[in-house]
Amino acid sequence: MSYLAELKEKLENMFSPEKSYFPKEDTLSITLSNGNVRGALAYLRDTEGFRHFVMLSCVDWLEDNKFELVYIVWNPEKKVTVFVKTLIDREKAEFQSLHHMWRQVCTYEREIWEMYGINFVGHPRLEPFILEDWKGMPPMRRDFDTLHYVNEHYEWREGREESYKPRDYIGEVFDEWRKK
Amino acid sequence: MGWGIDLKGIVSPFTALKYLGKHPHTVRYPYEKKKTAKRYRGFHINDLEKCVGCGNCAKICMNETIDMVKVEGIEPKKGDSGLRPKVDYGRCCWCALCVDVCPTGSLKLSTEYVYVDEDPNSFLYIPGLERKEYEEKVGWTCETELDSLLDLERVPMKIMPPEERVKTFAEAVYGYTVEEAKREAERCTGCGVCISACPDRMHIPDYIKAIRDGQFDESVRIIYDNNPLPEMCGKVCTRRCEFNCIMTHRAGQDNAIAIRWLKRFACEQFESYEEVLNLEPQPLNGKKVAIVGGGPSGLTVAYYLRLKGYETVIFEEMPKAGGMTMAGIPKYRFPIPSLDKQLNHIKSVGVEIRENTKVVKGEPKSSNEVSFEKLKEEFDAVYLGIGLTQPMKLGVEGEDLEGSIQALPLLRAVNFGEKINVGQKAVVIGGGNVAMDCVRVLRRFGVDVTLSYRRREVDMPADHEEIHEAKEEGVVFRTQTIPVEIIGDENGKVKAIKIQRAEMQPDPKGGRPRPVPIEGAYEVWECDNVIAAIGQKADYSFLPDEIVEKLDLQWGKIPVNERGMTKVEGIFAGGDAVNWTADAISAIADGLKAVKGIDEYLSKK
Repeated sequence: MSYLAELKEKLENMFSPEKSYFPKEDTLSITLSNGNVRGALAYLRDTEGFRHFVMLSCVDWLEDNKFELVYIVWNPEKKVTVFVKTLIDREKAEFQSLHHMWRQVCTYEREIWEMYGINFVGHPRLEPFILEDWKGMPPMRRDFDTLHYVNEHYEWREGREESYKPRDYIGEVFDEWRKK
Repeated sequence: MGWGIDLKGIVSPFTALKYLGKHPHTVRYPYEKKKTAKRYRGFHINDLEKCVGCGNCAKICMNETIDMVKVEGIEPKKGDSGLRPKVDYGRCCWCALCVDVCPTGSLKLSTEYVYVDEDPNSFLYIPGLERKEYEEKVGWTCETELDSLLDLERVPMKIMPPEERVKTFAEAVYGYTVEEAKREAERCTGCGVCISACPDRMHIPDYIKAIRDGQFDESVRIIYDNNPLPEMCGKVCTRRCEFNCIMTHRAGQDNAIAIRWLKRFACEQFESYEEVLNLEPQPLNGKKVAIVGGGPSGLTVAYYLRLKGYETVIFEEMPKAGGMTMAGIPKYRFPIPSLDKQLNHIKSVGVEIRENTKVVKGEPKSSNEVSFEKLKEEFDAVYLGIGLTQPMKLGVEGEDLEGSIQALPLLRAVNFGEKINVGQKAVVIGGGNVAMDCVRVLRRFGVDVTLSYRRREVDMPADHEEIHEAKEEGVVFRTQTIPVEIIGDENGKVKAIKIQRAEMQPDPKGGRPRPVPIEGAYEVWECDNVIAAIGQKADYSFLPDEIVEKLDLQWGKIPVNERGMTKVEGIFAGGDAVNWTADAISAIADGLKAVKGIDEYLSKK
């Protein structure tokens, strides 16, 4: 049995994940309940040797009304990656800050807070990071209307008056041909 | 520090000279420009030849960066809108979604990302037309299926297995379930390039979108806007749209959006169309239009003219309207209840269909006949939707022997449930859809069928799916064979056919390769029947001679103007006897053209 398969079994026994699978040969993905995330990450870091925190990512499952936080950690000895995922409620977007486990988590959490509006409880410095004077809905949420925002904030350059919708244009052009 | 000369301060800079001959560890000399990352996302590159102007790039762009514009020298044609993307770099954020949805793979990003100019308008350009120098520096591309954001795999259609198919005339294609249809409809990006290939210009993206949203009734309403026989089209259409679907560029022909099956799905959701469409034909305006022939084009004219308030009467020679879709197309492809459903709807708006009524010239000899002159007199306009009813003959010796027949009468007899007289072994000659229908029908009667075609299989005009299914059903294909003589026995019955093998030679004029008989390469195949399926022509014998003369037939077809009117005033025409594509959807398109024409003509009168 490979190391990753063994690890999967161990984690399953310890944390009873909702879902665990191998997205790639050297990668294990494991979806845990909110309360088990910290314990699992600590176990992976301190016992299994996943010393390197790669990144924290977030997925907006708008249809299910959930956010999915993805903690990615790497084991430099075994050269394997583990995704630790957890789902949080989209309405009450809040999760514990894990900045004390790896220092760089601090920056990732700040970014996720800014882009998705997820509040990390206990974070020392949740303040604007990349966006300037941002008001309204965080821009990476899927219900954020980018097109609307762009049209409100950027003016139309001259020389862009000519523009056709292919579907309408085809309808016109080819009907014209038929009339000839 | 005093005011004396600081000797150390003057000398020490020169000590750096000792490093002069040493290899530097940091900065490279002479200066080397670092290569940009391989998959860098810089300025756009577009292959204008490959691009089909679908506008997916413009549609997905979250910043409204891309405009679809006309480009000189690129004309709209089938499968190409003629538009090309123009990019505004004041807005582009280099996300490359445009590349990820490009169905042809023509759009790419280069590794070039620096551009300086005083003129802000130069930041607005058409990739592929301007700044061609980027083309050598390809960065972000979307070449594999995995990269693409498009769903390139068609939801498979369930079809009866071949060993079951040959036992029955029941419909072979099962159709999509609701879930499957929605999934298939979701694949469509709604670009509309398919419309360019549909003779009838159906609103394809719109009705697919309605299916995707679960509004099947809306979908049927959109379809009925310009097609009164959608269920027929949903089952047997030649589907030029699918051959021009943008998905085919990357995923191949079999993975085009299943436009035909989706139309069929929408139509099959309802037992009848009256309630869905809820049409109120305009009150009769007192003008009457006679329609000769109840095929797709005749039905189209009758239906839409009746909705406009004209009284329309169809004169159909056969016991049932539908034209070739009734008499020619076998029932395992297009069952009678399907046709009835559509005919009933057409009748429900007030169209009168006189079946078993033949239009003749001169005085009618029986109650089943009507004279053409009388129609011309009684009605304000006449529409000829007569189709191609006379099968062509092979023109070889022995064609009059018993057992040598044509495909069309055979299919007609089978479709109307008449008894047919075929033996154990048959040779069918031809490579079109009629030939495929014929061989597959014969297989269902347990006949051993060999198909003879003078060119190669790739040259066959028949639908590739039909060819595949015919092979599955056990039809033997013998291509590059030309019939020479039909051999009879002492009773005057077909005993065998003599064929000559041919080889393909390139056409000196640059056309498609031509079959040339190989000298002495004869073969004799034993058979009980020889069936010719090599084409059909129109029958004008019911028209008075002076009218036929005035119609000015060209290569057996009736010339019409852009409004469907022939050279005789008040006589309109359409369908297979007019167009060269000779399929149902072209006939419907012709019908709609004539509807406009007749409406204009009669409103002026």
